[in-house]
Amino acid sequence: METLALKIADKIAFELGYDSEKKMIVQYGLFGLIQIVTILLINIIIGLLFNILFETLTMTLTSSILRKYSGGAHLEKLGVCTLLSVAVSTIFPLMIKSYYKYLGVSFVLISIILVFVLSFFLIYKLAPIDNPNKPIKTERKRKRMRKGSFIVLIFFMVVTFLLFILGIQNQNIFRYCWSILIAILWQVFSLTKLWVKFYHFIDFVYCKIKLLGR
Amino acid sequence: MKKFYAVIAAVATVLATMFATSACFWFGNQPVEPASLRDE
Repeated sequence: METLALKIADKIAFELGYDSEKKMIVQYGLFGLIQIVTILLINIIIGLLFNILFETLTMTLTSSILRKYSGGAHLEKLGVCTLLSVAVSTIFPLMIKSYYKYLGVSFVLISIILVFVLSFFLIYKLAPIDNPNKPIKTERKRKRMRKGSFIVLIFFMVVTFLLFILGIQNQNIFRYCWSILIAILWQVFSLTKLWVKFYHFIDFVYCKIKLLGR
Repeated sequence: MKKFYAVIAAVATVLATMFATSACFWFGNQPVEPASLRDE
């Protein structure tokens, strides 16, 4: 993906006479765009194959909207990052699809309350978590990201409670409640040191497997 | 063809600016941010 973004940026810079700084901005934007399109496309295909399209998209979009403000741990290797994103937004929706019918209304309500209490706590304590490749240097931006994280979390809390109320009549709607809850949990856990260690471990295992494959 | 490249460049620049105002990339791996986009 990085090579593709670089090749397209090179071509654009040559055709439009861009300097190196402008080319880097275009390359940066293209790399993000290619990642978004790739992950969404794979999710849509898998979602259609397993009949979990809306759960998959709900999870992917929920976590990415929150991530925009809260930041969080990142995997270093692009391949394993894409693989994990797709795996998470496939395995959990499949579990939701199989088990949501067996979880009672009161269990759903308690889960919603617990997930949002924990999420507000973790966001309050830890957000935003920046990345060495994109450090947050100013207090102004840190405050903006923190405020944004709370607003996004409040938005999803309202949506989840509305879905819960609708779900009392039609339990199929609980699937979307669970998708939002799991996506938010995954995202707020990625703010913790434990998750950073977990991601380092996955990166380490991926590198070992790659070395063995050579 | 130049118009086509200009459209792609414009879309990529808008996206890059949106990424710059975020904590990190929303999907996938975070590459090194270009210096001119950094919110110093």
